[in-house]
Amino acid sequence: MKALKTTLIILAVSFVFLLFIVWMLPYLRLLRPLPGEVNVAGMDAMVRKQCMTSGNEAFCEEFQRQMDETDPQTRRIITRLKDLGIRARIADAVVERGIARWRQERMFDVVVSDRQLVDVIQSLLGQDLGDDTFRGEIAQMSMRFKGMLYDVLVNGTKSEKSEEEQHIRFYLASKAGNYRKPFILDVDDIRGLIQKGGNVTLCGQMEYYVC
Amino acid sequence: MLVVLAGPVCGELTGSYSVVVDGNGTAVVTLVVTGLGTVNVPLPLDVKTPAVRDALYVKVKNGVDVSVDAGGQSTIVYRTSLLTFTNGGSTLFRMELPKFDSANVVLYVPEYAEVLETDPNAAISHVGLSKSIVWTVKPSQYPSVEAEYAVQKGVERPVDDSMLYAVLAVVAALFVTVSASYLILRKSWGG
Repeated sequence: MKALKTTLIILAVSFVFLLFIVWMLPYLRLLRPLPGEVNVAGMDAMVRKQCMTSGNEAFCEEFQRQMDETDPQTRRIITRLKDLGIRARIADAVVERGIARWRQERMFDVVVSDRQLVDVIQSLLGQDLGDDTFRGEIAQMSMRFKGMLYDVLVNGTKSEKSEEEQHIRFYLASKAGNYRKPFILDVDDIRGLIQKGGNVTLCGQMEYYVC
Repeated sequence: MLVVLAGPVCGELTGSYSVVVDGNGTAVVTLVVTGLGTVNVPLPLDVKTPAVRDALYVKVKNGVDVSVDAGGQSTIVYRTSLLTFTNGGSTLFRMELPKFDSANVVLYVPEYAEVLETDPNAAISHVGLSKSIVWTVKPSQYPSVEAEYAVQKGVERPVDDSMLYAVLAVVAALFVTVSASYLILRKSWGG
């Protein structure tokens, strides 16, 4: 009788702890995501949510186009993404590429002369481009490149213009100052940077480091 | 004229890629473009703005167009998590190449990785703390490069926190159950 009683107590205690573990499982992310992560089910879910909440059809359409133009392996990676940081970067890139697509289509048959591009760059920088080296460089650019660059500088948003202006200034300064130097890759260094989780960029357009 | 309008000029251009992949599949890509002309560089969808040095660039629908001047050499650097796909115990790497005349791609995988397959065929070397896979291809023939490698289990693998907590919870629960059972049994034996 005593042995039966003891066994029953052991079974009861075990059952309580089993219930405790089952209760804990969702919070241990094994059965279902936490409330704040309900949407962590891949990029498709994010797009659906964006479309539903903000009604941004243009975003959803561009995302779908980007996915259609992506190879199957990358598509598979994107639809299984759980990292919110990467998904946010993708969302930003989708918006920018949507704008670029629209610009490409709009500028497709627009011919921009070298003179027009030189004038707009000079106007933007507030300085004369000086010698003919850069003018010669503009002359050898493809029509599409010239058209896109011109449109960014003339019709781009404030941030687009600012970004392009900064880049052109840096480019011209490095050309004039002969700052160019071969890029030396240190694999172990870069691997260390990745592990630190920082952004690798050509800060100052001269070297890479974590910003 | 239509050809010029439809696509970028890409003559006499060569590209040299260095791709460093860490154990989690995140990659830093460095592309050095040499030559003269404009080239379209497709970028993974998680790259908003790459770092571009010694060239002008504009953003396009699939990445950036980069204009390289005569005798120039331009460097493009970006970080992405979309080049590798983990499937079971192996990692698949795939990268689309711009339309260069020729391209050299060096993929630096972790030192402890075992290379299972490459497409097209690649040379494999071991330098410093990295094992590298090297392709020299004409993108007109091979528009992309692929590799499959396996990382040895238990070596620099990130620990899954949720699984760790689950194991700890189970162990703790078992410990409490066994302790309680022992105390109860000892009491009943003693009585």
